[in-house]
Amino acid sequence: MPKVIFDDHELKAFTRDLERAARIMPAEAAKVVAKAAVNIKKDARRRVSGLKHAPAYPFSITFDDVQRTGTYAKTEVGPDKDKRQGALGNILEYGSVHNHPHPHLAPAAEAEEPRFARAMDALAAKALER
Amino acid sequence: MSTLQDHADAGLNLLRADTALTVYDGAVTGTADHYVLVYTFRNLPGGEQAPDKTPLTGDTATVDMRFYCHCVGVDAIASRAIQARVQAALLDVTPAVAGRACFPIRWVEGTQVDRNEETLSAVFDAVDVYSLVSVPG
Repeated sequence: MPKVIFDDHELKAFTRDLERAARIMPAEAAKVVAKAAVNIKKDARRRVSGLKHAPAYPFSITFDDVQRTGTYAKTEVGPDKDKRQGALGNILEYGSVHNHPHPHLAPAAEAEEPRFARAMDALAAKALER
Repeated sequence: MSTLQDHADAGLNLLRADTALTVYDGAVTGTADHYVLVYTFRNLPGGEQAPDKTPLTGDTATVDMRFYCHCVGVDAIASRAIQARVQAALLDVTPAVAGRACFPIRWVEGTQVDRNEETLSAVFDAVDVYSLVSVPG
């Protein structure tokens, strides 16, 4: 009777790699998200700096502490309405009937997007190589 | 005429083609009580943001013209009606710009209909942002 032998040691090793990566990824991903948030905050502040009538507004742009679970890490970047001129965010970003816009949050986020994607790719590769 | 002005005109002319729609470019210059006020903002995404549209030389080739459309009316219903006309005029339409290959206009983001709280401005306003992307062609 012929016998068929399956060698699954590589599959089992890969499973262990994935399990190890899943353990370290949430904390590492949170660091990448935090770095992206810092970059967006700085870029948005720069883009909207120097406005005569909104000198304090750039300093109202902050980001929340990164929240994370086993499957996601998130934060929110934007003007804090409790800070001075923080309530001007919508008018500055989109403009109004009387004022033209100063897009700063969306462009900053779009500029960061490819860097964030690259950092997450690198993190995933690093986690699997350990 | 500059390429950037051509891109702005491409979007504005689509809106102006709707003869029932009052279109203001950058400032309210009339007395209409319902209208779309358009501000333009152009991005020039480079290789990092638009790798599939950037030549190997790395030269910036892409124009991303954003149309900030303030859809204004005396109440929320009128504001939404303007939003609908703007959407019908712009969304997924591929305009022609001389010397450029245009992609269909896409909606990027927007705000809810809300009362404009600025002084002397008791109108309702909703903002929709549309994007017209083109490459040399």
